[in-house]
Amino acid sequence: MNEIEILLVEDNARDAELTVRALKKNNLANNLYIAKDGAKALDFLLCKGEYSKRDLTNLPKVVFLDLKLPKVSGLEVLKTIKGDKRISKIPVVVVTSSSEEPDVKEAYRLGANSYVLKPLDFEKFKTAISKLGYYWLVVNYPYK
Amino acid sequence: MKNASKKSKATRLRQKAEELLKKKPSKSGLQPSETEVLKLIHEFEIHQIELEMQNEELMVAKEQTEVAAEKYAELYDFAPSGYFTLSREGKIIELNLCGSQMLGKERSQLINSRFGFFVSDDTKPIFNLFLKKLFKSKTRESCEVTLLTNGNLTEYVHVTGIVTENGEQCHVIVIDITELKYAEEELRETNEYLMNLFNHANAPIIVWDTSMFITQFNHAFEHLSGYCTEEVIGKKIDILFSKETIESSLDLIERAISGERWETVEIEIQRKDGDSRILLCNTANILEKDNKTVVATIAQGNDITERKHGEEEIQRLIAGLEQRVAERTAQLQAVNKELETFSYSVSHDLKAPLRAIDGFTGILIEEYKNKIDAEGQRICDVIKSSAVQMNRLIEDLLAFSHLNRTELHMSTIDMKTMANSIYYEYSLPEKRENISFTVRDIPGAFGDSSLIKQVWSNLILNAIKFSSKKDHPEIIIDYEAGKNEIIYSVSDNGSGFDMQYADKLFCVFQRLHDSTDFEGTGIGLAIVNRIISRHGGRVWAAGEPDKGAIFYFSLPKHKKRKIK
Repeated sequence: MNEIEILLVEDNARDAELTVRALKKNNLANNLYIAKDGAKALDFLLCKGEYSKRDLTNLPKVVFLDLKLPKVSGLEVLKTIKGDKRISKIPVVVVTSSSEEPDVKEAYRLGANSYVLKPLDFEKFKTAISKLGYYWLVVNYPYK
Repeated sequence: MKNASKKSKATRLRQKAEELLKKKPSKSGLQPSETEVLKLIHEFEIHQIELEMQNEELMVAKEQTEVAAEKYAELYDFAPSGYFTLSREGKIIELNLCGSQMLGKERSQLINSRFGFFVSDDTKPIFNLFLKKLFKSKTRESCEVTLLTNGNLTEYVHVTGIVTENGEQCHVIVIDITELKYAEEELRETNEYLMNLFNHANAPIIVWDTSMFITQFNHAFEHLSGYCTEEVIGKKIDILFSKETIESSLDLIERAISGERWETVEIEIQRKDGDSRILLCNTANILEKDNKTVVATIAQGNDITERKHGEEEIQRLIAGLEQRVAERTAQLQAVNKELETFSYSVSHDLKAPLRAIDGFTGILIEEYKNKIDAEGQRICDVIKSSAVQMNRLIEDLLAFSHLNRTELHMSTIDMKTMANSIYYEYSLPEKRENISFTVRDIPGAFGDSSLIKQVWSNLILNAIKFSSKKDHPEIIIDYEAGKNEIIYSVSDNGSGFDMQYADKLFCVFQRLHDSTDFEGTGIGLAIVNRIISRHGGRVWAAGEPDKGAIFYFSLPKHKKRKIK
């Protein structure tokens, strides 16, 4: 398994597919892993359960996090990531269709690095996602 | 005159003495010797001088006696009390000047008159009895009678008598007590007045002494307590209290006795029949002459039982109401919470499939361009635009449900400027050339400025939209001042509406026009309605197909603005 660059936490397969497609167009989806719920995302990052063989120091460059997730919600995932010194430096981008104020407020309070609304229009969606991928994988300089 | 009588008296005495001497037998026939004679003469001379001296003394004593008698007579006559000497039958034997003045006649005319003659009829029996008892008991007796004097003036007198040594007469001292009687009468009247006041006062009044014994109890208190005065006078005040309250009540009473003044003390009285009444009392202490020592306490109460019950009832009602408000608030909060969850789900779950529809249709168009003909392409566009339309509906619905949850941030709003800027913000310059837009001198308002802005935008945009097919669109913004509200209006000369559907205008997703004629989700006026009702105002509209429409909304006049 190559080094994972993007952890996409998304329970909706259609959204996941659209995201992957948008990234692929720009050749940004080679090292992407999709976690289908919050619990899996945390297991992956903390190398627990089925991911126990992963190397904890091998951190993804960015986490694209949906908020509405089964089992453990997106905000709880965010809280755990930002509260755990081992993984708190991973940039977390909330990618959601919720523009509800409490969500936005809470996400930033918990330390989200960015908050992006999923556009409905496919063209805009593609543009947004590819820009995000490009920015976090190429432009952004991470803290290791 | 006195000296002359003195002389004649002395002469008479001499004669008497000579006669007595003649009758006396001579002691001896012996002729006294010359020496003896001389001695005798000497003796006589001394004797004579002695006698003269004695006589002189007697005369002085007599004079003194006369002076004393005169003094006595003066005292007797001018004493302020009447002195009478009466016979057994009550006849006046002697009396002094004051006595005659009391009876209103000359002293001489009164001698031998009956004293009883001057006593008024109603007190005559008293006097007769007095006289009878006086002569019978031979001790000091007294009575009070009324004298009728000249001019029928009545005189109250106090009569004290004592029988003389021979038992046939009595000395009577009569003292005028008219003034005293009148003072007494006045006191009695005052007392009676006060007692009437006390007894017939509307307020229950009670008096207790320092040992907590009830000494006075008025009618109102009888009525309040169910006890009659006779039952409680002389009883301990305890009988007025129930077992539950006696301790605290007695404590209050004790404090009153020790000098504390009650202003408004609530005290519970247990009636004879067991019921209880609540009195709001104030007290005053009756003090000794030293102005310190409490003799008794007078308490006046006001029966506030009904009021108290009323207050309790109000308290109970308020508590009930508060409970209901709390329940209702909790319900509302639960509903709000549900709504929040609902809109959250809507924004997430409803949008995801839409995005998939749009996205995958997009992919279809993009990646399978060559395999789809023109009709297929058109169908794909319909699918995509439907998805966009549905997304707008969802957004509007979310915005609408937000209106109920966001707090109002009230401030003063310059309505005229707001309406103007919205018009310029939302209309294109080339369109404006054709539109006649007038904002009259509308007054400012007090409200949430971002929400009121939504109201103006919806109404102005509607006016622009529905008059856009006219050759000369005309929009007028005006106002009317009501008693407690200001009514704003937006009128246009556009497509109007049929008044029979007027009530549907402000409902969510209700449209009176085909969306192909005028596009929109049908939520704008529902939002206007919701915003205005949250501000305490009303919305309504009038219109006629193809003639135009006028939309009104009112906002309550605000005190703050008035002060300004």
